[in-house]
Amino acid sequence: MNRTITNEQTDQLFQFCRDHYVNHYDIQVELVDHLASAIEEQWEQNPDLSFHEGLKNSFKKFGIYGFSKIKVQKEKELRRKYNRLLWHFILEYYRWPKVITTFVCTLGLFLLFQVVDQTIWIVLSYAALVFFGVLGYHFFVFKKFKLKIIPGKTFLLSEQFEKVNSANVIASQLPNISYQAFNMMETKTVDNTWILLALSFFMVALAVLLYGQLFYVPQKIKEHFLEQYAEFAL
Amino acid sequence: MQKNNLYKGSLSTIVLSLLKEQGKMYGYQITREVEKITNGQLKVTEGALYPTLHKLEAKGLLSVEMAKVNNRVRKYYFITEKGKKETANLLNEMKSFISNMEVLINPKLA
Repeated sequence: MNRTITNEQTDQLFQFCRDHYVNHYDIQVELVDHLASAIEEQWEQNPDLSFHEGLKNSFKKFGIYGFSKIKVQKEKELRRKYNRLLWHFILEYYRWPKVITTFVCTLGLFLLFQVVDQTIWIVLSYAALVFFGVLGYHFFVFKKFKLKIIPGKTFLLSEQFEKVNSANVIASQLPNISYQAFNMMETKTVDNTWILLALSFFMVALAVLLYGQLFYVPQKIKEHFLEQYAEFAL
Repeated sequence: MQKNNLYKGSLSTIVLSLLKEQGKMYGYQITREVEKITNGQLKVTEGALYPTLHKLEAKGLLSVEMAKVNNRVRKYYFITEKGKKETANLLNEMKSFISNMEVLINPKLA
């Protein structure tokens, strides 16, 4: 019977990954299996080869960058994956049939701009709504998406939740930026139809973006995590 | 080494068509299988394979499945429907590239 990697040696391989700055379980698990398979294959030819010698030979094949290139690329690909998902989510609202909702909201906002004399009040109310909405989200909603992972394990995938922080930046800056913009224009009312249309479009698009970033993407991350690493969720 | 450089840009196509043919596979198995099929002519380095697999997974061309093997967890990759369509496109591109190269290398064939 061929020699196989023991549990103790598997632990040593996980430690080997940590020693090479790979701390996320979702990358470690693949590298550990790769190294273990490579060592076991060497044992088929040379059963007396020591575990450490086998590990040294296997790690050599990862080249001069070792694990770092794999780690950096994986981070980049995960970021891209969820950005792509968010982008598709937004585009859905500008395609049939959801575009009807988007169109009605944009038109409704545009009509509101016609009815209310001072544009600034609609814009500032919207900015305040975004601000308090995002604040409320963090207090009451985010915990629904947040994953409880068993202590001692970190996952690159769960770090994608940090994406919601970019919504915080938008929410915290929006009231100030809107106020300053009207101050610079030295007016409280915008009459130009095209500017009002563009403003309505932008405000609805931003609402869709925030909704996607705060609800849709975290839900997807949670789903993907539970599909692959359910045993590590509490 | 020079030989491998020519294959560099085709790694995604190679991995996708291999998974399309063979069903689910894990990282180490892919490196060994590519070597076997090409009689050792092409050695896929680990530093190139995993970023490619992660890219294809992120694009939704590959999907993954975790399984316990020899007391450790193994990550298997398999091709998705979207991946199958993309493989067909990439293979067509590769075929037209090869025929163009043949014309360039051997103009008499044209």
